[in-house]
Amino acid sequence: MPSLIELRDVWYQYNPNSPLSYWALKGINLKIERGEFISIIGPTGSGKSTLIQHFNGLLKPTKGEVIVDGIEISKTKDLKSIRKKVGMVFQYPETQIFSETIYDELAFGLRNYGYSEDEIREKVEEVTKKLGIDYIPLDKSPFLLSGGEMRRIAIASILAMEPEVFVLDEPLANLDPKGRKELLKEIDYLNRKESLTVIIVSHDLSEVSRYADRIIVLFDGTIIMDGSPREIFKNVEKLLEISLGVPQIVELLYTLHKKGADIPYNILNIDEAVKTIVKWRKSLGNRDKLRTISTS
Amino acid sequence: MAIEISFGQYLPLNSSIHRLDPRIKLIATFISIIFIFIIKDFLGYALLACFLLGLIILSKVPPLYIFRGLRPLLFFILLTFFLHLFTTQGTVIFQWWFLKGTMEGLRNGLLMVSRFMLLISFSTLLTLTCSPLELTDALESLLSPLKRIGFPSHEIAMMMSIALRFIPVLVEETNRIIKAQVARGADIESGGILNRAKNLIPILVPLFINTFKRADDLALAMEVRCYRGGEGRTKMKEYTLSHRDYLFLFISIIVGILSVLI
Amino acid sequence: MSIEVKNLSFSYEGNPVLENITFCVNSGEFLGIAGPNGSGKSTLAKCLNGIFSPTKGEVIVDGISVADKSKQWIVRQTVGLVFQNPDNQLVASVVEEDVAFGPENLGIPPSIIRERVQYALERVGLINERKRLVSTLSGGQKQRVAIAGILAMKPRYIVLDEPTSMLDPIGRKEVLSTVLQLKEEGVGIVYITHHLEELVYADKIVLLYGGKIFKEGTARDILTDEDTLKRIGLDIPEIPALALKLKKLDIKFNKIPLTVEEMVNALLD
Repeated sequence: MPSLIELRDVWYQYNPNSPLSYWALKGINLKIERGEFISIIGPTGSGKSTLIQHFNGLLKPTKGEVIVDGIEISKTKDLKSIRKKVGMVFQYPETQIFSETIYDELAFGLRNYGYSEDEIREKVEEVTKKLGIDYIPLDKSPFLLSGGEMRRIAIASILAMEPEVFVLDEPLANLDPKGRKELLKEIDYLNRKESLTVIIVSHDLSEVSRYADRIIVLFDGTIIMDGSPREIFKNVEKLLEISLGVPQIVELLYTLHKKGADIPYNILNIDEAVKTIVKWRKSLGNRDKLRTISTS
Repeated sequence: MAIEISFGQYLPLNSSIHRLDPRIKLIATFISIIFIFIIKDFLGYALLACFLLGLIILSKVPPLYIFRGLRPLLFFILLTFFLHLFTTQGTVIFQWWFLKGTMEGLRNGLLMVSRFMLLISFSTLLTLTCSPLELTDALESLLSPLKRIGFPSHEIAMMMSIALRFIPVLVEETNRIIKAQVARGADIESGGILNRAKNLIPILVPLFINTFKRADDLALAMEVRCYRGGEGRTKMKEYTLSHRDYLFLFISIIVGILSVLI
Repeated sequence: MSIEVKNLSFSYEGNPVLENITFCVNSGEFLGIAGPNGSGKSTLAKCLNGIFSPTKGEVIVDGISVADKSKQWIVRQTVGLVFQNPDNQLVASVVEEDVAFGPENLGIPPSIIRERVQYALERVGLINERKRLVSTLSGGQKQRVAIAGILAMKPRYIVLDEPTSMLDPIGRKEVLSTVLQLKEEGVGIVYITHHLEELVYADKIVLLYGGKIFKEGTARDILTDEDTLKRIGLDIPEIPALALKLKKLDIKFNKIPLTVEEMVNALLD
């Protein structure tokens, strides 16, 4: 079975033949497999948004190949079916809402793909349950909802199309801590229980790294790191250098390490940090005791 | 799919053209436009084109920018050309199906094309070398005599300046919404006229709503910064006319008259 | 010199949004206001410079009540407001022209406006970008232009309503360090956010929940009170969270550290 998405030496140039032209992607090689939870991280202007728009053919590579489920996007005429497979949620998706009722908004994608009204009703109801918004009446205007609820409706409208891979560009931006946590948990659930492939784009490692099993770091149009969060956090120095948000506990352990503490710093959560610090303090304590014994 | 726009875009460079008083540049552009409409032969246009070329060189603006200003209107320019070519009566020089191209038509067509291209290039050069605020300051100052008869020159200038400020923002936003809806399987480029109009709803509705939200935010931000209309307002930039400004205006008029007489 | 908020209540179309709020900010002081979405933070910001007048109680800015419409322009000049969306609060296309907008509205002579623009852009570290187009700046730079636009009006206080929520980590750092520097120079800061890590340097924090003050105290009081924060749906920052867990395991702290630096010093002590 081919990879779900594969990029082979992809280059992309904006404004070709103009004084404003520049290369946003410079030779990207990437394979995304079914069921992965990937986070694409990079500072502003590193090419993240450009990269993900290649996944569903909104942009076509200037050079190189993008292959989605065995189909090369530069050659196919049927981009529409690729866009169904690769569901894409843009930044601040609540600003694309236009329908008079929540139902119509959720049905928009499905109608574009020619589902019958019965199927649509079924899928719409299912998706509102999945995202925990089934308490909102479907005949209500989406514009009367809170910002957080509108975000969920917009995300649900993509999910209703039952994509195989779900790409979200900064889905947590501007939500409060509770909203962020809930949304991440639901996306994580979809990944674990429904084996939906998830790709989240972010400029902050602290939050998404708890859920992602693979992190791709993009910088200046190239992939500079690709691995599990634990592997990525080994390179804290580089991450800090390019001003990515690194979890404070990782930064803390890294600073201690630099100051001579013999501890690992590629930890994933507070409990690991606690264990690491306690163990280190104990070893220090033992050494101190040894020293006191030898001097006495 | 993406919309590109170059008209109304300012290119901040340090050149002798950029340093000219915006009022003078505005007047000179108006004068050039009037002459463009008066002129009826190629030699005149050639002279104006040379003048324009000189200005572009002096302004340090890469010529590609001027071309980018023309590109969106290319279809319209070609259409005008062919309309003239085929609809003007006169000596037939070639025939294709029922369409007859005439010598006079060719001449008229080329004249119209020159006229359009000069018109757009002159105004593009103006907006590339004047910041929107300078432009609107100039407009406000030139219209200020009309204030006495109750003409809202400050308000109009402020509206123009804000419109120009938000062009890049709105272009970006439109492109983003188009992409977002296409990603949801929307077809925006196929179907008959009725269908196409219907397909615009998912793009126009969010665009309007977001723009109203922006306008609301902006009005609040202006209020917070003590904006209360043009009354009692001062300007950071003081415009004083120098010899160079008068010289430039003089040259523009001379070139204009010459190109009519030639 | 201070903004005094006394028993402030505010209703919008008959619905109470803020109830019985009392606090005070002095010049040179950094007050943090935190709360989940819908807690009334933004409304409170707009009450501080008279965009909204109190339904009950009062807000007094350097001795002037914001409800006094005859003095509203003095109040707005004294209390500057910076909003969340950097794109929607810049009026002019070029950096220095935008910064000049406020002073121009105040009717200040051109030569002094130029001085003020220079001063304000230097303060936010954008003096070299003064001729740039706003549309080519990063989010963090745009937000600093917005701050400069307020600074050029020589305010005594600046209220920032979630100024970093749309920015990336670089932008956040830029804005926060600019704000801290202004505090050092004697400007009173009211900083509204739901990112509590940004409030570690605050002199005081007010927690807002359902339009009421839920708790207030020093940064250390508030940011180490895990139960309270959890109850109103906010996250305790990682460093104090770690410190509290270590404390339970008998690692002693003189005071619970809030920043990476404090924690490193405490552990290496």
